[in-house]
Amino acid sequence: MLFKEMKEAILEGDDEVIVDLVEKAIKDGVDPIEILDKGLVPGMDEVGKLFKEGEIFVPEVLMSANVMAAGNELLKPLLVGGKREVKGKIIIGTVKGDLHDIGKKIVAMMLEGAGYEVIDLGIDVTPERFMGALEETQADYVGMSAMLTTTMPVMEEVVKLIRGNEKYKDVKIMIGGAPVTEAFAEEIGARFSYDAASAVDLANELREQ
Amino acid sequence: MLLVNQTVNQTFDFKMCSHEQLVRLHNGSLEVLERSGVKIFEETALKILAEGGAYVDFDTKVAKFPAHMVEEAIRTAPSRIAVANPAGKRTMFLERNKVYYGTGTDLPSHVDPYTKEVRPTTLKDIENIAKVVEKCDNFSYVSNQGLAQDIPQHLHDMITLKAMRKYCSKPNLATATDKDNLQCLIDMCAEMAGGYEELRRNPTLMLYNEPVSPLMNSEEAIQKLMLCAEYGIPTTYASGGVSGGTSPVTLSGSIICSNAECLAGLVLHQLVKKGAPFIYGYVYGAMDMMTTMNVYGGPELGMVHAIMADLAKFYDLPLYGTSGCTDALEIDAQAGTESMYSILCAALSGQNLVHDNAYTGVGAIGNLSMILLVNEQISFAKRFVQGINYDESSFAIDLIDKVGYGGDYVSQKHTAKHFRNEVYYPKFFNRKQYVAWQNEDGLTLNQKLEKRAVEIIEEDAPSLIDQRTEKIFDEIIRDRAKKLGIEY
Repeated sequence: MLFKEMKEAILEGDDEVIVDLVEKAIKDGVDPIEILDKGLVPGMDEVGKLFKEGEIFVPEVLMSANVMAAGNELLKPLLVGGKREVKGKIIIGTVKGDLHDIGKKIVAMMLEGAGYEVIDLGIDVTPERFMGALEETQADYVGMSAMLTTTMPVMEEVVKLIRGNEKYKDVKIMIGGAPVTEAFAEEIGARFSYDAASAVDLANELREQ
Repeated sequence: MLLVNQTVNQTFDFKMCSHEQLVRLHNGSLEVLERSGVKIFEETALKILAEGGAYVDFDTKVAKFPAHMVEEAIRTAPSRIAVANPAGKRTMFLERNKVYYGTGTDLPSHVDPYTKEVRPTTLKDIENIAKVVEKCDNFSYVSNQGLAQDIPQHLHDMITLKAMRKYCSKPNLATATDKDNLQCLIDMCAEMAGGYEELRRNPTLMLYNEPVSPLMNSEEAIQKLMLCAEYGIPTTYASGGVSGGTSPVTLSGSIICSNAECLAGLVLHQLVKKGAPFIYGYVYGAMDMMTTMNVYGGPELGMVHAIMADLAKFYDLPLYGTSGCTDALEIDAQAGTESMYSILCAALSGQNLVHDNAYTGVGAIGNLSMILLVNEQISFAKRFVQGINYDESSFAIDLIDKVGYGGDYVSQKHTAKHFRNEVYYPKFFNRKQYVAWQNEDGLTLNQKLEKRAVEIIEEDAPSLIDQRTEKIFDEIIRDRAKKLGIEY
């Protein structure tokens, strides 16, 4: 019953309700992993399904993702050392010289909603900062965004730095942005996705490899 | 007899906003500028603004503007800008109610004129675009409309300016990577104009420049803005706020925020050089919440730009308009609907420098046929805004009496004299009956457009710039390439 209400709260985008519900479940002694797997995740799965079917739109997905995050926040301290892990850790940023934020932000929010841990480095991110963050977080993925054609070459620099280091050979590199193309991604050795939803699909695809 | 209360020009006095509504939008923007201000990642600009009376926080790089500064800048910027073609003839007068259509900039993909495949844009495509625009009477200026993937990206602005100058005799709208590249573009145009002073008096180049919404200004954009002010190169500083993404989803909120961003640029621009030519505007787009794409068609595009035209008139500044674009991926019913609609909105509302005509594929695909189609559509819109004549000869009351009952008008001198001006004749749209069409060539509209595009690009098109100029262009580009460590 509680799980069904959680799912509904996520679909409704109601973060106050989810906090109440999750707190209640924790108090009642429900296993946090169960709360996550039976309450929150099915809610987000349903959101994803409705979005693909064209029933709901991006702002609604993001509202739901926020609710999911609010629930997660309460579970996090209880899950430490637990069996369940996030789907993957992603650092993401708009490359150096570029102040365009919105596309990357939406991708980050959608990935978070899909169960990834996303560390958003913001805009105007230098290759050094990407590498520093990678070292610090040991992320599984690096996501880069560019809106300007003149900043696209920075992506290549970062790819070279990552691939130049043996210990990052399994790091998955995803790129996107208005001027970025499949061909460009191939050329520099990264993977391309054309919008936020396809970025999530790509992250999932790469995860299975 | 005195005939009174007549308008000489029969065009409708089209308005979207009342004076009161414009004042409220304006005051909203002033409040944004005074309360939130804008972030500027350029130290010199912040200093200039602080000296000019803005409240500047050098740590956060935020500048806030008292209303009087903004209103002073609106006052000192010229209400009209004359633009010359590369030959130096003044052909465009960006001023109240004068509408000039042209292409846009930097589309990464292009429809191959032979295979019809959508593929990365090349330099050759941009040359072809220039050739097609040259043949389109309703296009008053040319901008590259393509982002060629086969040339060094950091030299793209210069190489494509050269291509446009080579194959099109119309004034140029261009983007520039940074201030050093812009300096090269100015050097190239000054070379052809006969010096910087001549270029200032009769500018042949306009810059498309923009802040980053919401409320941010990059170092490059600000430096380009200041350089334009110094050289008297007309520049836009139109925000591209995407409503629901980088500006409020509510259209009035989006206008207020984007207007504030543009006006902040104007303040700096006028502080650098009072009276420098500034093209005001907001390049509106909505974020489609299904795809997160920045919409290039739809009913809001024409509407918001028409409101911006009212605001431009309220400020008495030339407006950067948008029309003739579509989210459709190819030339189809959607493309026709969206482009025609926004073209008419631009015409009715009196937008001045109307860009992005013939953009397809959600602002990503160039298409030569679309340029030809839009040229036809502009003729169509032109006919509408011309209206009908109210003089005696047009009323033809004597003729009505003469032809009388059951007579014909087709054989009358009056008809022969007036029919061309009274009724519009399309170049490509069909007016033949089915059998006649089949018997002749049976070509669809799209086939006719494609055929004409290929004809144009295959025609002998001698370079419009002489060898000496081309050599100097190449030297300027090569020097820049050297500084950047790029091969050219």
